[in-house]
Amino acid sequence: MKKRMIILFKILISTVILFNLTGCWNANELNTLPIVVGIGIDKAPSDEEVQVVAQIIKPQELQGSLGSSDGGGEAYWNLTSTGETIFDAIREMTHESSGRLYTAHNQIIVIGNKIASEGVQKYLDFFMRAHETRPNTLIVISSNTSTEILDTKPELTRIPAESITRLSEAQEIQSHSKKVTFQDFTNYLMSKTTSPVAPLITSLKDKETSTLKIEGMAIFKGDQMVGQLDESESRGLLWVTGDIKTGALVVPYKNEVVTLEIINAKRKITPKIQGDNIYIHVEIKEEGKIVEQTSKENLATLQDFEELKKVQNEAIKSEILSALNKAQELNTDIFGFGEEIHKKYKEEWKEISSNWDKIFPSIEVEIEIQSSIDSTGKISHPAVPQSLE
Amino acid sequence: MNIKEGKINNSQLMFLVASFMLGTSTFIHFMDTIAFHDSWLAILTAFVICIPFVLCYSALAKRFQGKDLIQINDIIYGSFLGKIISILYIVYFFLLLSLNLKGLGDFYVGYVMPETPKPVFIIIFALVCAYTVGHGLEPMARISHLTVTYAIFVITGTFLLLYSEVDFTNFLPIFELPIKDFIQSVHIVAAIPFCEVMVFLMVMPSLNNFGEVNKYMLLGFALGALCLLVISVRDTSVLGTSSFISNNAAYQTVRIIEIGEFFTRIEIVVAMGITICLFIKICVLYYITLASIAQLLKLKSYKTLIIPIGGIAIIIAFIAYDSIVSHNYSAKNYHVFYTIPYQFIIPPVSLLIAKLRRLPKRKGRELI
Repeated sequence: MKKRMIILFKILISTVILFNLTGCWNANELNTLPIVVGIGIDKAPSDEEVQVVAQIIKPQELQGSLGSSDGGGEAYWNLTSTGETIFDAIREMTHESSGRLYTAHNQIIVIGNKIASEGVQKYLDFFMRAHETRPNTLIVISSNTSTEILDTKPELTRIPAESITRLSEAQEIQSHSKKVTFQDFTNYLMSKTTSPVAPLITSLKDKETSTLKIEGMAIFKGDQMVGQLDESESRGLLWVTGDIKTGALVVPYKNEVVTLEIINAKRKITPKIQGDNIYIHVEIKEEGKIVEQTSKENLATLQDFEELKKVQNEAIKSEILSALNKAQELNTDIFGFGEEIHKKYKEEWKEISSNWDKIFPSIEVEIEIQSSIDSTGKISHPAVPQSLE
Repeated sequence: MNIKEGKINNSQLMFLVASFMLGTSTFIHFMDTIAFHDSWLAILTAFVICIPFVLCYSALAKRFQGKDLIQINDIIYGSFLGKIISILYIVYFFLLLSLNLKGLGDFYVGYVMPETPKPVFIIIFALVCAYTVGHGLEPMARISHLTVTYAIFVITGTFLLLYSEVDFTNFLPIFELPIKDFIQSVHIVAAIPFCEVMVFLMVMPSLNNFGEVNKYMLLGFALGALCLLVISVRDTSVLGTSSFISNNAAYQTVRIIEIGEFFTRIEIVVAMGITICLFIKICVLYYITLASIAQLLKLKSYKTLIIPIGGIAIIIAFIAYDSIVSHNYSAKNYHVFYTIPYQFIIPPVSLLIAKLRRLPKRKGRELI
């Protein structure tokens, strides 16, 4: 009898627990969750406050994207809100949205031009602390406001934030810009000497179409944007930082032009301190191939290849030099030369780091380029009548 | 009288030690704010420094076969002084138990389920530990194989997945740290994850064979230290300077993993590893606290103590520090000094006295 009572009691307890402790403490159901895929930060019109745009996806609109050409309305909703701080503004959004914004799937943070020139660190602090932010979130700088970027309706995808993400990931194809993640940017901000860079994005709008374009990179001094690199200068930077994946290199050759594709590139930076002088030796090894030529002459000869290599070296060198000039002009160590010196000369570093702003503009950089051309594509000669000599 | 139930073998001891040390991996990140990219060097130095101490613990256990720390204290220091030292040790064990419970709560609230109140995790976890401890030492020792295997699997797996992100130049320049900071960070590593294995003086008496205790104790210690070293190397090489401001660099590192667009967000795997290693650690500490109190009070079994001690430990875990800042501050500045006598002074002195006085003496088959 006693045994049976105990069993009954246990069943009772289990039933009570079963109905009371059914779910998670803060369960979020997917259908009620406003999923944020992009965040933009701007100065509010009043200039005192900060304005945050959250791009929220509308899943029901996304479903129509495969079948019908027009799935009704837009698949996203840009929710704007202002506040004294980022977190304040994001929480203010609950006045308009039906639930707490879920930012764990945020793919991109777009920083408006004004914020960038003012200094970004204080605006990114919240994202570094928030447990939902992923370190792989991308950072782009808008040439105007971030609202404008997130409002540009893309052609290939239905959500602007997704198209910006793909766009910045596609930059490695031409190597005129590179993607910068939240993680990279944090490391930049924590460096004493390295100046942060981030891709610069513009919205090109006319009456009918609107597209987004990444053109070059924004340069920061500390956390303030001070200038920008155009496309070839950006590639000059990427040569030195070792971020070149592939790209087209158009070089003049014998009054015509030859297009070379970058296949592989490596770099090595060696700082040298001799007495009071600091040298940076940049060594670049590149492999390319001929993908296009305008002349009718056959370039697949040993002699032409030797010449082309030299021209190729010059082209790479001029890209690097243009980036270097820009960086020295703005006194921004975007290449991370300071850190390279730090890694090699820890004793001298204390003095150098405090004077880095004086040293960097006049630092001597030796550029050594060893490039090679390894193939000519599917054809060796251009398609012109061949003479049988 | 023997209050300890069950016997463990040498390899179980080894995995128990390694698992115990891995349980601390989340709690030593504040060391990075002192040692920066030289953390790995601090870990390596602390490892070398701690080897003699670990050998001293196992030598003590081997010399007094089957006697636990409380009994050893009685034999060496006499029943009065021995009791005082034992009480101090019990307070130390108990504090470790509470602080580790608190650490678990902090980790869950900070990273896994941020809006759930901390007591929920601490109480549920303590209940599971109480259940385990109620079954004695053997079950813990048996599952420690599994926890260490899982931890090693996660550590190597994440390292391989992060291979493309690894940048070993993050460690340059080597040894940039001022010597004072270096000593401080070595001390932290030695005191918090490494020489805490001193608590195994309460576990080792349950060994079924004392022949190779030195070897297995050292192997377990080396395995645990190696895992901590690999974790530190992985975090610094992947995250670079930003790992130094992170409250939990290991978790942040794993968040970077992204293979394609689908193999991502696997940090929960790490959270599971941290949880199960902490589970072993807290169970061991729980068991040790109970066993030492029971031994001191000469109880027949420690089982009556499970609920009261667990309850007090939970309460202390709630009220221990008012913020993570004060917790880290005190761990960095007070806790490491507080542990010096327990880890670095009393065990070697005990061993020395035992050698000089040729203890333990034998009376028939009993050690006295």
